[in-house]
Amino acid sequence: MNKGIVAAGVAISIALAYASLFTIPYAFGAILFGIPLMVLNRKYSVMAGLIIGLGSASSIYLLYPVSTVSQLAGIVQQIIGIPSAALIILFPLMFGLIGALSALLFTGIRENLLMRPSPKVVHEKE
Amino acid sequence: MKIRWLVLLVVVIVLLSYLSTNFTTLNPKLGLWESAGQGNVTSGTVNIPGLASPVNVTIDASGVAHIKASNMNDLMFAQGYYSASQRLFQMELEALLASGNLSRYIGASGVASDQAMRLIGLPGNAWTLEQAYIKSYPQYYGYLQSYSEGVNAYINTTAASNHLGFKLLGIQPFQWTVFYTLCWQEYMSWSLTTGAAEPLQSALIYNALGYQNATLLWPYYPYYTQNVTVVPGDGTVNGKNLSQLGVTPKEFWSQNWYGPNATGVNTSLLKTLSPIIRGALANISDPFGMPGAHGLGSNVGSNSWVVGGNYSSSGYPMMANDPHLPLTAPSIWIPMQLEAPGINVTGWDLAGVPGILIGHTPTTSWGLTTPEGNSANEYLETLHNNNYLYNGTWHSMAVQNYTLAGKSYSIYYTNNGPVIARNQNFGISLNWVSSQPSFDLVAELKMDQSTNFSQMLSALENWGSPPQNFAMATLHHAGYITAGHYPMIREVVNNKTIDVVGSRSLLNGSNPAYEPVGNVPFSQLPQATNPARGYMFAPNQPTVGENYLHPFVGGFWASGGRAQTIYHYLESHQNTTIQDMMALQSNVSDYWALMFTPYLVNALHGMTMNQTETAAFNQLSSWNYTTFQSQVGITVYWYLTAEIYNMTFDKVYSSINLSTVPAPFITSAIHLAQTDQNSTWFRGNFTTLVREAFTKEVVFLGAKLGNVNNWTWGRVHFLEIASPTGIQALGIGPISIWGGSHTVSVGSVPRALLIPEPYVSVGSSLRTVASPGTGQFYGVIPGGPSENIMSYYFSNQLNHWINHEYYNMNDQKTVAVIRYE
Repeated sequence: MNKGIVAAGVAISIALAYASLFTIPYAFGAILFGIPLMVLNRKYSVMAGLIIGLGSASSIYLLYPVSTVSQLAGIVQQIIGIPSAALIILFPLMFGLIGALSALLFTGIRENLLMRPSPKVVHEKE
Repeated sequence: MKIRWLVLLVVVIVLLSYLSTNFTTLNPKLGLWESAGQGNVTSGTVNIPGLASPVNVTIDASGVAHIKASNMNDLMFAQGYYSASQRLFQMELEALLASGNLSRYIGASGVASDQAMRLIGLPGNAWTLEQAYIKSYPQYYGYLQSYSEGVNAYINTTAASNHLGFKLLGIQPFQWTVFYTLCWQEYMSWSLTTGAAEPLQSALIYNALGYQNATLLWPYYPYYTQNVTVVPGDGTVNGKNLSQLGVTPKEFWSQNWYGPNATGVNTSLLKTLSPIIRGALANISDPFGMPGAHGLGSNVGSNSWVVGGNYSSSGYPMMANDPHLPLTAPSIWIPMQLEAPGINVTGWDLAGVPGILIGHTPTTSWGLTTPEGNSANEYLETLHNNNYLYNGTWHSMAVQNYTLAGKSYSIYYTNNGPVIARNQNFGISLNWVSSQPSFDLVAELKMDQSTNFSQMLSALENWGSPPQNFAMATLHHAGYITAGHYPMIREVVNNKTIDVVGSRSLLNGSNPAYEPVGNVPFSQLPQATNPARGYMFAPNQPTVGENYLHPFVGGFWASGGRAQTIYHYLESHQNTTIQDMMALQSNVSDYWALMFTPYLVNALHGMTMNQTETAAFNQLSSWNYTTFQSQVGITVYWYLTAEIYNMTFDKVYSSINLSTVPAPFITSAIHLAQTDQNSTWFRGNFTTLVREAFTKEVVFLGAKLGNVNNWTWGRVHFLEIASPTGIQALGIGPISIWGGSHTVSVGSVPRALLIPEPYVSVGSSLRTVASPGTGQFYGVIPGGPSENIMSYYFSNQLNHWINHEYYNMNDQKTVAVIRYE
């Protein structure tokens, strides 16, 4: 795939990831940013989806003081009984996972529907 | 990729997406983590539609907001906006609680509370009050509306739904209305009303133990009341007293005020009514309500005192106040200053209610405590089907139907009020003054605008429910008035009619003779200005002496331990300074312990003791009656009296099914120790009782705490500042804390044989000391202005509060300036 298209797909995907994090409370917003990753092959679309999802969601925590995030996680742990580290990572993980699967799905769709391989041409020696 | 793999991927994504809907609160941007980013206060401009002119909000280093507007409506609007920005979740939770709609948030577990609120009449009273404001005080109704609009302006921002409480519950805030403000006012009024539970409880004691024991345990005026009434003297107010009606105080107070002559209810009939009385008490109990707010010797009290210019070192009057209320995180108070043309007031505002309730202007200051005289009465109703008997005629009861969580409920009303319990042909109705409009907000805002003493008094003519002791100090005057509506019952003594306040038991609701004949006129309410002795104080003891024109038959006063401490302190501190006022507010001496301990020590003298008992005895006998965390003497004293109570009074109460009634003990025990050590209440021998209790106590404490030197108060006495949500992680504590049930700096606990004692949950909800004449104003609260547990301002004042330190309210650095426009 053309490098420029790949770069554009990844850039759009990152933008969509942040847009969904800021506007959609649900982790299934990650489905959106998986779409542009269809320009990658299967292996890279999965990896990119996971990294972009996990990275973008985790990076939001940088908006807040680390100590208060950690303190708040400790408080919520006491309320709902889930370990504080898990509380912090749960949403980004889910976001990344859904993003990765979405990217794989759309890559698969592209491969199957939009870019079916052309019949093989055998060139014989003259 | 094969199609079946694509289908499988779709299925997995759908499943994961469905699962992920449970984790929306964990979204780093739109979930609860946003609370982690709201801790700081920063300067800037906030655009708020609805303001006529810009408003400046300056936040000082103590977290106090100084709101300055160019007109009154903008000021109220900005106060609403600011209050919501700090406390929206608390405000809405309290509004739902008070309006009987808590089940909307928390489901079926809120139904019992909602039923109680509606039965008592809080939402109905709020609705009536709102209509009365519209009709009688449109200007003040406009202020209420402006406040609500300010709250809603905040609710309409995205920040509103980011409050942690909303996030945790997964709900959105609802729009605020004047109705909710008035509901919360009604709730606070109910919480501080005397007479709702007390006559029922004293009737149970009377039924079970008889008149002699009822008056022994709960005398009309507490033991040791001499010199400690709020209004100094014999009870004469503005030149009028009981004797002038031809009845001496002795004649009056020797009557049986539980009996049929006083109540119109036959004694033998009353004895059969204990089950329905218990039912009434249960029905008006709010499971989410303030702990200990109602009942004999309830542990919700307060302190206030004033010192006149003739008694202070500066020559100017001073005032101190610390209202004891349930300590919650966040506090029920928000500290702030409100300034606009015609108003400049600083103090503490009840979250959800406009204005400043306790505070000061540059020339006036005031504080509130609760007087314990009845502003509610209970009536025995004779019923048949849906009719009630009144003045020999049957009348139909009014009925109000409502639905909660899908079930229908009904409330029936007689002419006296809602029927709060019924058993076949008898019912008990509640007659509470708050069912009449009480324009407290008018009084409050006029106080906020006051510049002198007479303006304050005039403002308080508008105060209705609950009656409150207002401590007031201005540039040149100091004094008190117990303002509010006290319904009077017309009684006959020696053929003379006397309009008394309240009753000790159920009144006959079928007989017009026991109907209220009006409220105590304002000029005849307990009051005094610039007392000759130089000081007055009002920590819930009797407001006025036995010769008062309208005797408080329904007076269920606090035992008076704090009043004794304050009286003796002020009496010995002529030329009182501001520092003396603060020192008294931080006093942790137990006056009743000072009186009782010598009798206990005397009883133990000569007892054969083992090593541990000797060590414990030495701690008790050398104790200085203070209740600091490091003290051992208070622990020995407290558990010894708990054992004595457990072996004597509590056994009696349990045997007659009165365990749920807050039981009088300490002053009755001291009185009996002084006058009748062979009393049956001491099982016939005080010395034997004390020794047996001491032996038990030492075994108990030794097993739990080890060596006597380790029996420090701080190991058994803890404070918990709980979240109104009931979620422990959102509260503060437990913190090892000073104080006891009868200390000025209070730390109330029940006399329980537990290690540790149940946590202290009621205390000084704020402390203030003011001297307008010298321009000195100090204050502190056990928390901060913010409800965000992640914010510095959630608990920024707590350590000062614990250490009995104050913020100088005139001299704080500015940390942020916010402009609303």
